[in-house]
Amino acid sequence: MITLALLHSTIRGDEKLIIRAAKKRNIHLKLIDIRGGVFNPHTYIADFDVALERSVSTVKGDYAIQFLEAIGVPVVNSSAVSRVCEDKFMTSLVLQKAHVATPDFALVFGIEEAKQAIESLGGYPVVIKPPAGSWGRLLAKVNDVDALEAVIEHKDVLGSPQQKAIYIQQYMKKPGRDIRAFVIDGVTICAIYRVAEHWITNTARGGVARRCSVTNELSDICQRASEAVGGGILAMDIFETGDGFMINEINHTMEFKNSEEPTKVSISGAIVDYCIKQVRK
Amino acid sequence: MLAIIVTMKAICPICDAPVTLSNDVEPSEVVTCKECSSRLVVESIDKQSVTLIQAPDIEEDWGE
Repeated sequence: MITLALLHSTIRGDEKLIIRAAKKRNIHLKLIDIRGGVFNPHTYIADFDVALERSVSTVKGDYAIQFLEAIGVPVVNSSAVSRVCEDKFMTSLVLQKAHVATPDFALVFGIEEAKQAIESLGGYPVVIKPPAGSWGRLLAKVNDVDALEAVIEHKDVLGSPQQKAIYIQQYMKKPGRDIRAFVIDGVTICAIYRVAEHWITNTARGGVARRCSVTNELSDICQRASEAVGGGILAMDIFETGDGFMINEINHTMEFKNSEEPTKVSISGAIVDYCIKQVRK
Repeated sequence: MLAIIVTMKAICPICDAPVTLSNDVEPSEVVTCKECSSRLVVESIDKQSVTLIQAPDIEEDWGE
């Protein structure tokens, strides 16, 4: 029997769905809270065939993935995929290199460079995001130079070193929603609209999930974006624009518990099936 | 047919209200106290006894 290790730092509703999906498939699931791990290659006993990384902490998750890969255990998602997806600047660079439609962007470290970058992006408004951040936290829609100076001064004075890398993205006007597509092994298994009156549509910030049909156009851009970042289990945030779809961000430890009901798709089941496939490769 | 739902009980460490948990509760699981809305985490499970602690604050690197 295959043993799947679920690496976590807390059990959310999403992990509960994965646990139930594994039980249904008669897969032996080993829950590993990585906060209690001792990652010593001389002493660590990896008594499982494949690991699924689901840590809510990116830093801890990254170290666990790197360790397990180094001792020969396959991990979903891989460190290569995580490295690209956990950083918005890296994701944008990789998408642009692969000619996958994505909003224009720049990264700067100071106010004067930010002003230059915004001019080159076509002017205000723009969105400033922490390169490594999630759940819509610390996003700023910057409408003018006064707001820009305030945001950057706050980051300079109050921010951690990571906050001083300033990722600037062209602001895309949304029709009161964006799309989140769930993509496994390059295949879009389902998608939701995240509907919100606010320009931030994350469900963590109150966006409501509604079923979205998976069209050929949507499947195509998701397949190309998946290939660009290295595949695996991904959730893509997508803008609908007059020129077609644009990939905004890609998440590598996606939350999905609010999306199974509207899509009627067992995302948790597809995640477990993909992990099993990695062992049988 | 009558469905039998097995539940486990715990006490909220913040407001002392009883917290009902499903029988498949796991260590490190996040739950919410219906009485005071505190975010809690399952610290340990011992037969039918579950110990809850206050969930840690969200950290900068948390997310998807």
